[in-house]
Amino acid sequence: MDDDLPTDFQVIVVGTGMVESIVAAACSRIGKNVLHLDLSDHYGGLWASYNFDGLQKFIKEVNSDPKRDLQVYNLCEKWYIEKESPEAKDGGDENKTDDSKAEPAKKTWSQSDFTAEYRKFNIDMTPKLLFSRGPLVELLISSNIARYAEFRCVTRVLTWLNNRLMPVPCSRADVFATEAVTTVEKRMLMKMLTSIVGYNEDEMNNEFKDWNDKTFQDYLKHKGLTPNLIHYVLFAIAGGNNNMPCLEGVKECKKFLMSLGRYGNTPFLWPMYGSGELPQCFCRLCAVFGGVYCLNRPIDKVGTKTVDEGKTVVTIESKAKTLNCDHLVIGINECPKELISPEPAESCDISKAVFITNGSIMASEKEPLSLLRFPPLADDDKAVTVLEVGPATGSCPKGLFVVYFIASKSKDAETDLKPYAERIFDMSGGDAESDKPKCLWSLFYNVKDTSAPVSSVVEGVHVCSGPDAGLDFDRAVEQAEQIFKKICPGEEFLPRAPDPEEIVFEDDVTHGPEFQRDHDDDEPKE
Amino acid sequence: MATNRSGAAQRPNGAPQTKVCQFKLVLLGESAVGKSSLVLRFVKGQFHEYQESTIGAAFLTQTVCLDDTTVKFEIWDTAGQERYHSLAPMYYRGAQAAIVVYDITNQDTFGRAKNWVKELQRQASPSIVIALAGNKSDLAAKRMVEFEEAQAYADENGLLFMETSAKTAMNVNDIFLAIANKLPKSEGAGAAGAGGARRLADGEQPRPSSCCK
Repeated sequence: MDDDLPTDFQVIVVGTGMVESIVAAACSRIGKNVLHLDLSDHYGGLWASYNFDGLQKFIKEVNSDPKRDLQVYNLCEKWYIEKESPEAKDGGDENKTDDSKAEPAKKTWSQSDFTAEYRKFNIDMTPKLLFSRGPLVELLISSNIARYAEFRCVTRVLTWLNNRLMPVPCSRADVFATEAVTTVEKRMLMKMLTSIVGYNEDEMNNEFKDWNDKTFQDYLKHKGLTPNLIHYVLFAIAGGNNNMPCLEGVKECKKFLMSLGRYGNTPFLWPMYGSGELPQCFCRLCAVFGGVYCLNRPIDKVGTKTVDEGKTVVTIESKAKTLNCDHLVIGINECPKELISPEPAESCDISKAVFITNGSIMASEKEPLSLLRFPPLADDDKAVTVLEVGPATGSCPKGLFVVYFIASKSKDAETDLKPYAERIFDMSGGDAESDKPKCLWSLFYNVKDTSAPVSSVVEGVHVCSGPDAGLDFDRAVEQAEQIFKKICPGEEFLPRAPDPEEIVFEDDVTHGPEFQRDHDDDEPKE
Repeated sequence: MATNRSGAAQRPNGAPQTKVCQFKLVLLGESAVGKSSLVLRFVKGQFHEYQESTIGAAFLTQTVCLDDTTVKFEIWDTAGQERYHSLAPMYYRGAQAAIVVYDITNQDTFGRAKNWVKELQRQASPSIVIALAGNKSDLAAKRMVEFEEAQAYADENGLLFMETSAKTAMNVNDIFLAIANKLPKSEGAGAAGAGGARRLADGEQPRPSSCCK
């Protein structure tokens, strides 16, 4: 079917993860002739989101992958509900629902309900948030790719304090409205936060020059903050831990505070249908500017050959065809190991979990979208990031929530994360009433950390990192821009794509036979 | 070529503002069946015999005025991603309408159109309005797909159906108008996302994504 695939391109991108997709879009946008391939039949690689059926296939694939080529291991799926719902019970529940409209009885979910509604799930392998003023939001807006996606604001930031969930006051209004801290504490907090926002880079380095070897916690104590305030600032706002270096903490706080007030009550946005949509948005832009897309296209071998005038091109053997390009951009998981140099340093893998529950971890009037930053429960634990998304985000059917857990790996995903999950979910699988939402399904897994930048031994080959454990996409955006600058030095990174109105206007005037394309810019004939 | 918009597809010029609903409409169909040509005819009243693959413009808007409502279509073209069966799911996310196009002179494209309909029924929103367009009706002499066959298929599947010609403009405005009529235009309909989802814009203020002014 894809035998008529053209063979010569300026840039070939292999893998449709976040970094690869941004590079593909950027190259295509400035007129490079781009081919974008993926070995699998879907977009996103490790950044993908799956419906429930797709996820089951992914689980099977991982379980039949002893060599860990997929970079995912320790995968453990578990159900906490029956295979089929008991019919009689359902009828009873329905009657109850009619009587009390305000508080409908909770549906008794069964595994077959999940199967039947599989399409309503969009479960992310790499769930991430966007800072409202972070690099990805700015890039989406400046490039005009923002029009391909929709977002929801994270409605609240939570923390775990004194053995229960607590909302974290984010904005000035929140701070003054909260009853959790005294008036004196509020002033103290506002003063410190205001000063952090006010520092520019130089001032920050100057102010904190004596704090280089000290922790952020030390600094907060030094500022006279009470334990509760230190907890809010250190764990919830800076997303840190007891060992977080001072300057890093200050910078994280500033990032958080700078993103407040742009779109919602918290600094964060979540993409509709999940993080896996975002690489696809960049791919679309690439395609709109002429990039060629081909999924399900395995590659067998990467090499080089010298052509006329001593110029070297990168060659890719794929399905009995040789594809040639000046630059190959390739995801680290797809890249033949002998091309990578040097071996990436030993890094800390990632522990992840996904839970599907029958209610929010903390009841609220409107459907919440929550970020919970769990401080370490034990001294040698790592902080755990929790994201809870509901039906309004397109992540699951009505009545359910999808909850993601992310942490640096200590032992294995289940050992690392289960104690945290048990604090906020009822994981008994029983019918007993509980004030916590019931966990209906869970998946624990570890992901190899492939986020360290690596280079290739072959000129013209650019290796893209995999997902990191961080909360946002900032590292992916930064790396994509670096790769783009190497391929296209001096060119603008994702200049604004025109709006439809602008295109219509231009063509109405020129009445040219061509549509938005100059003759000297022709595509290769196919 | 002169712009030639028929009455159905005019912009509201100075008329008192009625309810405005915005809908996402996606085009689907095999390469070279005339998806982009249909849109260019509808949006700009133009037709180019040797239309290049769509570059840089896979996102156009056009407004249709109904009695009490103005329907603004945000029309998404495939940007060629369908070519090697690599269309991204984000393409049909949140689409309220789709036109599945085939070429009446090519039986294979009709078969592919049926697959696209299936794909939409599986993947897209259950309330999506789907129209089937048998394009290139000006080439009836080379017809390979019978009108009745396509009509019967459309009826079975609850699709709108018309044979169209982007070249002569036959039924082009009509098919968009038929879709506009069929789309639900109740309060809150046409919002790009289900209440509260938003596009990002440069400004600090939320850009209204809801249809109603």
